[in-house]
Amino acid sequence: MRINLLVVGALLIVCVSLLTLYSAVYPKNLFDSSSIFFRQMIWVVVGWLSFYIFSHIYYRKLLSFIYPFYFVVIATLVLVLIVGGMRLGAQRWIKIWWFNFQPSEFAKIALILVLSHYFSRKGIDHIRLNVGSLSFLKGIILPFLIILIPFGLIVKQPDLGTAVLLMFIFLGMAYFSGVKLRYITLVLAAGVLLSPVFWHFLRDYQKDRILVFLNPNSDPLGAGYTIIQSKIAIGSGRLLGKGWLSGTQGQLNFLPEAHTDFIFGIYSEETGFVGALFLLGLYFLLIYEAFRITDKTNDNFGKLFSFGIGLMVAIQVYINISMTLGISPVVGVPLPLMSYGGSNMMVNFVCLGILRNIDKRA
Amino acid sequence: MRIGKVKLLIGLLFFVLLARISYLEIIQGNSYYALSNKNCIRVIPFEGVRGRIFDRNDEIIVDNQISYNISVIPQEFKQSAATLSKLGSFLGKSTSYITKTIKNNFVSSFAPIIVAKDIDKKTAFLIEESKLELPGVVLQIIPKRKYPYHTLASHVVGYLARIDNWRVTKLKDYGYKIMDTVGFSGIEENFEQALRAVEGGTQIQVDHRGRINQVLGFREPQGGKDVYLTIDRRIEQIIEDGFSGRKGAAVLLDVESGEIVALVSSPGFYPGAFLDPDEASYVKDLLTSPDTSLFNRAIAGQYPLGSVFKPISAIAALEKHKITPQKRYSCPGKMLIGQREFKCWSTHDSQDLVEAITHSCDVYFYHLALLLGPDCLTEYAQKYGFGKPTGIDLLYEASGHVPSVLSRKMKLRNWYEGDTANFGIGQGDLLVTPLQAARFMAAIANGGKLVRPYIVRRIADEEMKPQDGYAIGLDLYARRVVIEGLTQVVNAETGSANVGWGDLKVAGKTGTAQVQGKLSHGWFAGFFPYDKPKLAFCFFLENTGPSINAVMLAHQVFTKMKEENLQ
Repeated sequence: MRINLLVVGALLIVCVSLLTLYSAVYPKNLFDSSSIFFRQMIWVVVGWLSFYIFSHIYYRKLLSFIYPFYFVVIATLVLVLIVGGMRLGAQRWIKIWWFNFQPSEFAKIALILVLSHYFSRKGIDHIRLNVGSLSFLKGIILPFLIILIPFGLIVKQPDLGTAVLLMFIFLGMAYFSGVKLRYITLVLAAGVLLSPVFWHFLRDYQKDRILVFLNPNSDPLGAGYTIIQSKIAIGSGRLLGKGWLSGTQGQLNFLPEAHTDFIFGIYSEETGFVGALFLLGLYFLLIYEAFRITDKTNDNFGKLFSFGIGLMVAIQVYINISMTLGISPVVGVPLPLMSYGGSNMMVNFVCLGILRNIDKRA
Repeated sequence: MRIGKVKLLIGLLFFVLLARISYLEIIQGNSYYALSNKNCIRVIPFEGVRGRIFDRNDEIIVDNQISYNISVIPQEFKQSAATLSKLGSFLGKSTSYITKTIKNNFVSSFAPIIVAKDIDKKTAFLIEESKLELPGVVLQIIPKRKYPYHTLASHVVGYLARIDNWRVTKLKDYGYKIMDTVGFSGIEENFEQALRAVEGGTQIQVDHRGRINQVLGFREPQGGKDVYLTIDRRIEQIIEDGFSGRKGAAVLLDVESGEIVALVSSPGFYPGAFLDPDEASYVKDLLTSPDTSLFNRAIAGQYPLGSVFKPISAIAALEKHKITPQKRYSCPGKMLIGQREFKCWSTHDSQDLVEAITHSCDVYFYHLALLLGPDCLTEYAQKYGFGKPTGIDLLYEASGHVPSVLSRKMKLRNWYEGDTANFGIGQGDLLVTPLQAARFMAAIANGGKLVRPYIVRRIADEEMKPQDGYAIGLDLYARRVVIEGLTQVVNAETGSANVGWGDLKVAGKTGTAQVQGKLSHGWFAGFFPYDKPKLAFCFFLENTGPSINAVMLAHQVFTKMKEENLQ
């Protein structure tokens, strides 16, 4: 069998993730640590199985399940607001047995599936995507109405990071489908103009995060603390890093959320610039593969779906890493395949499985 | 194709990330690395012992004593009723006092909090023995300056205090930081580098809550070097007792080597007060008192010298062949110079040079001054070391002032003949430190060598070589005549310093320097024994009236020294 770059890239990232998590919790709190590390191992195995399954299901068979899946996701998003567990000021999880199920992760894939379906159906009579033939109503308003419900529910949690991510995916896919650039610009401009209005709907901690992003030293022990510590962790890695298990900022708990959103901080502290370059390379490879499949397949749904996945990975990587580097506000976006979290791991592997299938069928 | 543009955009975003990562890890890497260490590395300091100060007979004048503090490390200390009451009973304090102290002084969980200061040795050992029952309680042994003779030689020794801004800036490169203690004035300041102990400590790694993660290393503190002085503790004491609080200064130095045998500035102060919070009001008084007790009069006080200057006029006149010792002038008690009448303190008959010195006749020296002229007087005053610091190994020495026609002209003022006359008897603008006065007497005594005074003879094992003085060329004949005069001052029936010296072979010159609107300064400077000079001296009393007070003080000191068989 030919070596598949998609598979190799994903596997390497997962290995890096496991090694970093091991280091993040080593050697204290041994019970907890083995549990976090162990859990992630299980999720990798589960994820890998899902990847295998979905890579063997003809992806067009999934089309009939898209809307039922979409409504299930909406239902769980509603459920999470009713019975969800609070953590760090947000209501994002439903505890099922020992698994903290996070519906907003599944909303990402549901949204990409729905939008792929919608835009590909509109262009069904054309051999290639119907460039420029979508009106503002059909290109922007209608698809936006479709995603409005899950989007609103996520904003309500509140999960600003995922909401922003969904918005960008939506605009990206609309753009790719041939919606006129000026419509998209219009939406972006409206967003900017309405930002003072949105500001009022933000929770205090979200306002803090944005203010702190503008000036991290304004509150060095409060909201700015994480950014400062993250920069210290990354910067102190220098060229070659402090070595595996030898990072101090993560291991001594100076960096909060070191195993989830800020995992890049401890990874980079221990592996330095070289390690960061390697990881960015792996993500680049993954995105490159997704776009290669987009180019390769002739099926509009497949094209849009693979494009959406590539875009999602790219935006997540950018938002997450730029926030650890202190060049964008802190929003809760995990690093795909790296951050600790079962839902995230599952969703990413399922997406890659579908991608693999599109690749095979093309 | 639109996907191309998306790819380009994503490529651009990745490039931004890469650029930022390079900036943080490569360009700013070292400074972030330092920050990460600062985050998690703490040092628990362990003080070393500062060097001690000894006198010329190797007797300790400044010592260290061990002070015991009881501290509590919050992380390890269990605030249970049992441990609290046990600790409380040892220290004689209530449990609520202890918990309150811990709460109020909490810095971080690894930093020891002092709950009892300066406890006695017995309690300290008792607590150390019950260490196992008192987890987290530590006995800290802290060296503290001790002054066995209280205020003795306080100006020589100097004092220790919290470093000030000026010194922090100056000493930053030597590793000093805010809240360090550092020597102020005297030996403590000038020999700070030798005396200073190198701080040791335990380096620990802490986590984000300040809890100890691991011990990284331990550095043994190093003690400072001991400093050995040339002063004699007992003579110093005799002189200070003699002053009994009066304002003034005294210097005793070896005429050949320039080593200082005693150096007193009165009133003294208690050097231990500056680091003792209980003495705050005393320190405040010191810093604001008009007596300026902190000020070292012996080296930094500048005063008109008065008649003590006369031997210089005499030497100048003899060396320049202006007169012979037999030259006689009679003194009607006054002399007209220019338009003004210059007075003598008394009336004298016709007298020769030796008699004039003996009686301290002003009129005789007005004549000499006018014969010599101002430039010659300036030259001789400078030759005998006035107007320049002596270079003693203590800080903040003053240079005094020698008047000259030139400096007067530069202030656009005229020099009159009257100024010349005044200069000849040591009045006018001439300002001298007591140390300079003693050194000038030493130069007459040793035959024309201006010594370099010094007070530190040894630092740890290293002998300090005294710097040689330099010869100023003193005519042997002139010297003999002047010494004869100085001997008569003390021993002749009519001598101005004859207070009945018995077999003390003292030679010297008195001086009563007029001060506008205040009591005059009294001087008595000279050397002994006059046949084989060994020590030069200067006694100075500030604003206490005529010189006889200074003579009495010298007499009292020398008598006592002889009784106790010193020198």
